[in-house]
Amino acid sequence: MMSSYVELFREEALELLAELEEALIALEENPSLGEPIDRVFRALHTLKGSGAMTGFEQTSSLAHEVESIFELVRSGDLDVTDELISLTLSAHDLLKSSLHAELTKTALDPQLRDVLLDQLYTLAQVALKKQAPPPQEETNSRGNENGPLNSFLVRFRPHASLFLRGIDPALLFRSLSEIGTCLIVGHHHAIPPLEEIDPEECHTNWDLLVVTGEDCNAIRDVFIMVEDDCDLSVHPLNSSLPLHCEVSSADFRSLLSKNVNIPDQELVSLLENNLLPEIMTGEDSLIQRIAEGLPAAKGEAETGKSLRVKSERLDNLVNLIGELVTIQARLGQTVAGRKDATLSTLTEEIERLTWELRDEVLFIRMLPIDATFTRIKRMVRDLSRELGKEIDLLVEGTETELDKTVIERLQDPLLHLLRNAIDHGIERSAERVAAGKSARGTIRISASHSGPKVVISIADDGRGLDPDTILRRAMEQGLVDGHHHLSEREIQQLIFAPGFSTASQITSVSGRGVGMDVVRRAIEGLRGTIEVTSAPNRGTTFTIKLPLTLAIIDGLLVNVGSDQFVMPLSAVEECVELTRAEVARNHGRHLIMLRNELIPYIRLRDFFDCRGAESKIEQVVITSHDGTRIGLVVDKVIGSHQTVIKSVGGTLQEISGFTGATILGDGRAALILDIPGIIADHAAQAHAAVA
Amino acid sequence: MVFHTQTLERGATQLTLQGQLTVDKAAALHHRLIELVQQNETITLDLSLVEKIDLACLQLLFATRRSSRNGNKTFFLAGADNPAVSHALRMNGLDLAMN
Repeated sequence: MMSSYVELFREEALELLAELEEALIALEENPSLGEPIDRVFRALHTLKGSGAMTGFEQTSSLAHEVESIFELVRSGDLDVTDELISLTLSAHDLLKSSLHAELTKTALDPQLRDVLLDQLYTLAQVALKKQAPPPQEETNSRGNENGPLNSFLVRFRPHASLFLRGIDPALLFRSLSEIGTCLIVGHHHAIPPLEEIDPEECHTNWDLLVVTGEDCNAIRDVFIMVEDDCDLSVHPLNSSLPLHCEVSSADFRSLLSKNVNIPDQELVSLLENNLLPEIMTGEDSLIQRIAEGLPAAKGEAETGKSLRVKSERLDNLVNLIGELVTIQARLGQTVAGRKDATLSTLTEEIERLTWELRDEVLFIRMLPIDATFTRIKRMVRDLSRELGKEIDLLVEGTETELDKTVIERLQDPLLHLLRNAIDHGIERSAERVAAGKSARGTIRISASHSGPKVVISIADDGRGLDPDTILRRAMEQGLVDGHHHLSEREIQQLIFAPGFSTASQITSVSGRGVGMDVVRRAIEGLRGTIEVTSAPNRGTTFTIKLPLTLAIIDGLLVNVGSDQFVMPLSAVEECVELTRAEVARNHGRHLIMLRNELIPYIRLRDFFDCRGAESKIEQVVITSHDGTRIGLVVDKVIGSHQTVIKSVGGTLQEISGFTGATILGDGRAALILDIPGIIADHAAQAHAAVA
Repeated sequence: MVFHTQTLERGATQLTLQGQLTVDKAAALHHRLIELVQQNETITLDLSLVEKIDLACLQLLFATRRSSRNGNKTFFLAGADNPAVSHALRMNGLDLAMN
């Protein structure tokens, strides 16, 4: 069993690697930005530190090597180039393999590491040689060369009345540490003895050393509330120094403790000329803290904002809520039979709380989709290079949240669609230009909420689907016959048919026998739908609609004979009565006229071979899927039902027509109907009957 | 805030401070501390049960230490490693000053 700290490191390392990858992609998109460089650096640095502490020495030392390359990038000595990003991305992959190897106690080929590091160091050396300025220039520029961070000496002398204004200096310092890293030195020498002190007055003064990416005004802004209640001075220090030298808090303190009343300018020059250049590394140094992303006073303030919880615990919580919802339904049903007002009120209260609890718990499981999108960015980048295509990837709505399980299971279908778009959709530059399009192709992925669903669309501006080719291939593969006229939309949907493929040659990228039907089944397995629209030479768009969660659905409970079924409420449009007279009017054909539209229906009694007495007036539940409306005939519609989905195992999994089961309020089980499956089954049977 | 005074032996007293020590309690704490320093030769302040302490009350700890030294009395601070206390000292840049 994995010890808890190793498990903790594994989770942290995976998060850091994801952050590293994301930052590298962001850096490639905008090499001039400093922020992604800092993120790369922080991720590597933390990986190095935590790895070493947890005994992952191989991973830690690799992170250290890559970090040292990025030190050159951060100091501006090494430019961000395509090659650097590619090599660092490979290093990311290697770090991941190394982590895996150390976790599973297997060996990683040391040559992989050596080759990669060789390439990285060669790149760094070439860059350094090219950029090395003449020595005299270096001396001249040293004083002016500003790093991305500035350092300031802040002297804060509050008036005695500070507390009367309701000000707590610790809160000011906390705000200050939000814009940078601070060393805070409080001077207590002015605090009088007990006999003389006024306990409600402030007798303390402070000197602070602040390193921040912000300017002097940002620091003054922090103190704006106490402007009139203090003497404040902010002195910029020679900014280039702290990046190359490290100041430890102890040194700063000891300097100040000997010189409490030292004039400002004297202290500034002491700091600049003596302290900063002389004192190098220290465990408690500012730079160390910046690199670790742990601002001196900020660490504690940040605690408690988020909590790391094992995902299994969340899954357990969802299961428990499921049980609670089931019991609550049972309670409701029992109480409804007794005419007890107090009991009814209490039950309603419990019902309301249960629903709130259910929503909160499901909300905890929601994760933003951006982690998946980052993997996509990486894949698009690597694949377009491999195929020699120029592709811009636009990503929108990364903050859209989806259930954890949905996100996990969505990854593969999305990657498959992307691979297809890059391999088959987007043309090579020459071909694009000849077709009157820009040389670079574009793939746009977006995610957004639409009611209770999340809509994800993947659109490319490539050559689009060719209806003639699709139809010809479908006929060759026996998927359709020549007798039926199909609309363009119907032809496009044929690409989702099992076994369909238009690829004339198998590439390493797609066309490996995994068709679009696998994608469709994966999406339907998530109770989602997928549609395609396409225009020749304009591109193809796949639209995926997914439910927010998989664990609990709103269902419609119906009764057929002695059996009960649940239909997902999202697929239900309306319910109408079906009288025997109406059945007779249609001469036994399974059709119902609804507002001038003929809708076919399926009798669930026949479909599932249900027993029990037939009802005189049946109900047709009109459902829709993929634009097809179909009625399902039941004996009685019982009402809406909070349905906790339980998967069915064993032999039951083989039977089509339902997606799972649920426990009803009275303790009995009910099957959850698979509406798309039933519609498809019905269509196949009708097709066979005609043939 | 709750005070709990315990006489350890002749001339030695321990004052245990408990709960939230904030500026609104500073006057009361000040009063109690003056009594304590005046009446005892050895004073121990136990901070292990403090839940929160702000600068106003931290200043009183420094003042007590100063008065004790001025009067040649012995002053002990117990429980200063209580996270609530060490956090407050650190946030006010006074963590090393208390040592």
